[in-house]
Amino acid sequence: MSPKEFLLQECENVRATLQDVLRHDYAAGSSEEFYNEFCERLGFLESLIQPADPGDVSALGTFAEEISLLSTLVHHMERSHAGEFPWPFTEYLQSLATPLCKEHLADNEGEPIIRVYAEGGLDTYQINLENDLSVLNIGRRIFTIVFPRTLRHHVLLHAIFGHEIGHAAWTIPQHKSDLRSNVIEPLRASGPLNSTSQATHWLRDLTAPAPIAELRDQYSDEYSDIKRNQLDSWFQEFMCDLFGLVTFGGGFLAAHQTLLLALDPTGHRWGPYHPPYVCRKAMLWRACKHLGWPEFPASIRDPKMRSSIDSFLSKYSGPAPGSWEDVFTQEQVAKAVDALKALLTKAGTSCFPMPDDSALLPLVQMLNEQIPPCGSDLSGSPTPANRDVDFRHILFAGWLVADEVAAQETTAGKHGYFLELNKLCEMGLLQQRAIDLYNAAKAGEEA
Amino acid sequence: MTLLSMYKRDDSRTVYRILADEAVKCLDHPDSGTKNKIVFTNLARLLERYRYDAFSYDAAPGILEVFPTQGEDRRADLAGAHQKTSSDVIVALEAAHTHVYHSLSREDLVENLKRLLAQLAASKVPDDQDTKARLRQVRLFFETLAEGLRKRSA
Repeated sequence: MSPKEFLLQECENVRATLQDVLRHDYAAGSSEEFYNEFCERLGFLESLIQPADPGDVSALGTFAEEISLLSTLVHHMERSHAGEFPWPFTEYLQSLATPLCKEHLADNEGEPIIRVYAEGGLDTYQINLENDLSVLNIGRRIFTIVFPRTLRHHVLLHAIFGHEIGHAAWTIPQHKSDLRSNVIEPLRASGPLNSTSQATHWLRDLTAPAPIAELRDQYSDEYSDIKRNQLDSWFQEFMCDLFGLVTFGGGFLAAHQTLLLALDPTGHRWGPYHPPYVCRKAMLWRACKHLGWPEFPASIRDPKMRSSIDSFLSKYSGPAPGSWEDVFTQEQVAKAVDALKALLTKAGTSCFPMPDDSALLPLVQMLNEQIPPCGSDLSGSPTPANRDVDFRHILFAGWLVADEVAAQETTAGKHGYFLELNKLCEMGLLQQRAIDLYNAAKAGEEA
Repeated sequence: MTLLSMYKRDDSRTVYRILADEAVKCLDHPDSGTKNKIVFTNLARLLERYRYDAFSYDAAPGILEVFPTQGEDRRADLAGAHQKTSSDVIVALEAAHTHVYHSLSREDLVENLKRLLAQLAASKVPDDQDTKARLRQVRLFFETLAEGLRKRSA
């Protein structure tokens, strides 16, 4: 069988697999659009392969990669069963990501299709973006959100997706241009990461913290020789961390520290894409300072809540970073944060709104009574007045309670609280989503 | 071990050569099918990259990826390999731009072409002399682009 004949046969195989996959139960609403988009892509690819010159090896190589991508995509679809991921969280995430990911290519442009599936270990939190320059047959982009399988109910940790939204925005050329000029350039303007040679010098600095010296000993010299693409990737990661903080607020701060320190307890390892965690945390400390977080507890009237927020901030934001890891000035971070907020607002994605007593207290009280935190009116009134609640406040309240319960459970030698708390918050998001839909329908009727 | 291992290549030269060839065919034989929509949407996407100089290949790594140290540095250089072939696409685009639209700014070129491609994708092209002249220019632009990419692939 010639490569061309095989590729045409494989198109049929992929089509048959797609039909087979459709027997499963998926989250409501998106299966049909996925199916249509997929069939369009497959049909387009076949229409290109059929007349292709069998001697055009470049084209045949490209078609082989395309059909393989479609096959992978259908496999992801199959892994995306309803019930295997927290879909109310995903819908909220979608509401933040979709306005940012519009490409503005046509007046009647379809929104990106967002699919979710769970697999892999702790480091699999990811949004696959379909932004490879060499991808041939995309009509509407399909973003695939990946959760670690074991953490499917851990909505508090899912605040880390604020970071991934940054990667998604970076794939839109106009955003990339704005982000490069207004967020990354101020960060790159000065300091030890200003150039590859300075970054290399900084990593090899004899006054660097002890864990860095230890890592230098373990790795050969070339690992501390920072390459241009590596530094570019590091700045993309810094930018995405700012995205996380600005979109998800306190929930992001806690999820970021919890997950990244779990993966690298030293906080000092670096890689081809990621700078050392300690530098990321130092930048977030400065960003929190700029956003007025240190003054936030003073605005809370309830003394217990004030103290709980104080502890939260001291755990996840402070203390002030050491001089080696503090790679940006306050002014650099402030410029980057302000530019990012402006970009998000312009795109129609809401930044994290700082909660007040009236927003936060009821949610924390509900959690303390093991009631899913949301805007439900629990007064028993025959005409309940359910409240709008920002889903990010539910996550923030969850983290505030998590730290209190953690201290009690550690003393008692128990460990199950975190999963239970996450399930409560997941249920809170589900109920809040129902309230949102009801309120929207009611507002529609009244209008 | 997998069946075959090979370095990932960047197909952007081939991809945009195929799309530009297809665009010429679609302009010669307009219809309202899906193929038109996909071809013109993808080319509009390419033009946006051209407008904002956004050609770098972007990996979106997980929150903290762990690599074996051996070969780690080569992972970091992957993006470099992609930049080489992407730069071929940029050169071919610039050549087609100058050949057909002369000194028209990049911003204006992309804005005009995008509007026309959106109309073509939706099969809502006005039937007037001005539009016909613009369509001839667009055809020449994609023909030149495809030819430029064919030469750079050779």
